[in-house]
Amino acid sequence: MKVTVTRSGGFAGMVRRAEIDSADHPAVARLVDEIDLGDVPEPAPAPDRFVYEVEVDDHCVPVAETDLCGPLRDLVDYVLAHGR
Amino acid sequence: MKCAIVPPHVLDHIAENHRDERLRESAQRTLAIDGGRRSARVAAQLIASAEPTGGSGAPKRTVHDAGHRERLPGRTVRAEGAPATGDRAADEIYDWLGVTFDFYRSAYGRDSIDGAGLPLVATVHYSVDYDNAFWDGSQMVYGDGDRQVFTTFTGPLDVTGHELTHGVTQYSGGLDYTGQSGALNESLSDVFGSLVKQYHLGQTADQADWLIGQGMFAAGVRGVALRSMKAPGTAYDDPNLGRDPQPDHMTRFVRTARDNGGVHINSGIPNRAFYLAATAIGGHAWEKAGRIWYETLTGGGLPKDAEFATFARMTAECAGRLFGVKSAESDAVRRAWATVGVEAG
Repeated sequence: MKVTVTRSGGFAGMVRRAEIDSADHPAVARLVDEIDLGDVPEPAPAPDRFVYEVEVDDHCVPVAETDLCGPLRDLVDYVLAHGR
Repeated sequence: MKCAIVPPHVLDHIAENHRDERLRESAQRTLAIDGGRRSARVAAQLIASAEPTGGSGAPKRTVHDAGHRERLPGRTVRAEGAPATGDRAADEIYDWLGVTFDFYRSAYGRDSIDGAGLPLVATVHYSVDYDNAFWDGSQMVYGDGDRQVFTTFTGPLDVTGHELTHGVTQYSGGLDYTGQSGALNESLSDVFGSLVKQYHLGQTADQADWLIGQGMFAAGVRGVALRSMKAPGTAYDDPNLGRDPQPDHMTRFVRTARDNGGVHINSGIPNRAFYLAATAIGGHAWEKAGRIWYETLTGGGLPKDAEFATFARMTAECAGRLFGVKSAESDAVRRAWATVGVEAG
């Protein structure tokens, strides 16, 4: 299962993107099991905060930085740190 | 929309007729200093002395330390008037909050971010390797940067000027943070962020670097800054970061869902319009071009969903009211917008 995280916005306005395959990262597979992308609220725009896109297989949802918590936060941090 | 600056004919009137001798002398000094033309700084002081806002004229700053956690505001490390902490980030921010407060007070007679003496609260050392700074609606928050790309968010004065201006925009009625109105919101923060820096350095429009975020990149990053108001799209070009994506003309407007519809990208268009107006007018950019933009932002008539053309038309109208419809200033504003492909009406 492919997981992709894209971060945009922030004061710098730069895009950072990373991708990972859960086959190589058991931690990612566990985190994906814990999250429900259908539960993520619609992002409310806020000045200079980061905006994320989390894509698991072909399901992609936008996530506001302020809504990033729990296993979804752990997943995003993991993919940005270890993905490529 | 109101344009609150004291026009020359009113200054003339005060200089000759006002019953308060102190005000008469002040108006005479203002007229003498700029030879009949207005000095925004002195005029603002005149407004402040004529109509006290109730503010003390001094900032009320508090700097906190999040200790690399994400709880706000964190531990208080420096209150107003307290000595330096020795923590570089905390002390930089204490100083930059003061400079930004002084800029708005001196240039536009504004008493803090809300115009009513709002205390300035900031938190440094937020989170871990955090590559950002933001205004959260009530306070400033600064990360330390990841050291690979960004080494500081507290060092450059324009970052603080940019973020506090998000507060000014918020208290002025706001601009929806998406699409063109979002890009205008971003551009206004870059405009006044740059003006705070120019004011602090005493620079005229032709002396300023018109860069946003100069001095934040780690060694090895190929770039001079995050954004260039003078030449959008040229601030960086790096193998890892890619190339500065800002357009410099409406024909190159970027349509994207990311970044709330490219608010940090398309801000390049109004940024360049301001640069062009300010350099065409000349002198200290905060005095004329800055005043036109400030009055347009704070005058009460700017719709939250304003697009570039609406803002352009309002700046042209404001320039007409402040300096005359056929003035060089009005002409500079209209030409600036036309050059970036925006119809000012």
